[in-house]
Amino acid sequence: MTIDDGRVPAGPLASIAGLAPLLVFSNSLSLGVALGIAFFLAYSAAGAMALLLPARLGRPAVFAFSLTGAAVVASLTASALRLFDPFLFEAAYGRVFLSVFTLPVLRACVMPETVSDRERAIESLLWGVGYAFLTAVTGAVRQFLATGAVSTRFGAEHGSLLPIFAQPAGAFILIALAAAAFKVVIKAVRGSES
Amino acid sequence: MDVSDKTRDTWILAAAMALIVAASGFASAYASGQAARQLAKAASEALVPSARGEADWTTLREGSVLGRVDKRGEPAAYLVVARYPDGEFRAAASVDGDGSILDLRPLGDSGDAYSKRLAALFSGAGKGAARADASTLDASLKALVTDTLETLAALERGRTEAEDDD
Repeated sequence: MTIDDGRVPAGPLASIAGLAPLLVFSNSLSLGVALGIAFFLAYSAAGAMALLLPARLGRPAVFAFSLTGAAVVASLTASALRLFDPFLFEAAYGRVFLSVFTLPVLRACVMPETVSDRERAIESLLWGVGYAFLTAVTGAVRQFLATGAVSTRFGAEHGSLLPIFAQPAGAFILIALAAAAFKVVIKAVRGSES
Repeated sequence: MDVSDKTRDTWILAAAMALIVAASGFASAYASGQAARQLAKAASEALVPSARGEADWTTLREGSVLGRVDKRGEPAAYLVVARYPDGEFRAAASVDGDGSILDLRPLGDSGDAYSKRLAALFSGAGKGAARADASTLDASLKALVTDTLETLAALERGRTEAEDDD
């Protein structure tokens, strides 16, 4: 599937599509923050290992070790979440491990090929912060649209506004609206430049 | 590059990774123990506010039933977490040998209409309880309540049968 039509950059849209498994499950602020933190830690661990492991191990071994490292970090995050709020853990633990298999984390596990790729580590880290923030914001927005309020306490969501946004379909509607808005903004910016 | 160096590095990394995985396993076991204590305390204090003494927690994760609290000399208590589209209803329920609810206490804030209605329906299903008045929400909650009651009954029957076998 080609997203890039020559006018809108494919990278950000592909990344949002790659994050879809997390965005689908992020239907409240607390769940979004938990999944965002889990994603960021797994992403950072994978990226750091792929960058720091010796290149002589070979790309498959670096990928395997980085992915294992990300899974271990996801497990530690789940343990911390369990200590913090057992009820939130019960709702989120399966999804925390899903973060390891999202496209940005799998991409971070690949060993950087060139020196310029290695020098973009900080940029990759900032993208990770952005993805984590997006996951948390998606949770807050979906909670607001579904219940009419945003609660920091998991399980304390009350009220009904547009309940479909609490369902997985709500995430896809939101992604489609965000992608459309992004495309319109990019077109408007490029139009004003020409 | 020497092939033996690569093999040695791979083995060192694999050993380090195995140690980290083992440490993560210990962390998980510790978190599980702490969470069990927290959940057992929440459930037993909800049913008997002045409850003292050690309560054993068993994680079940069967439908809406999260786990069971066993306390010597008292009926078994189950922690119910029933999820509905806009939130979740948490309650501690003590049951008798056939799984019928003896007492049910919601945990925490149960401010919305669904939570209040679920509390009424579960309490109304208990032994000797007055039948709850009908509500327009009942149709959407009926399946959830029925499933949870059936799960509670099956789990409690299983537990008492296992105890009898011992």
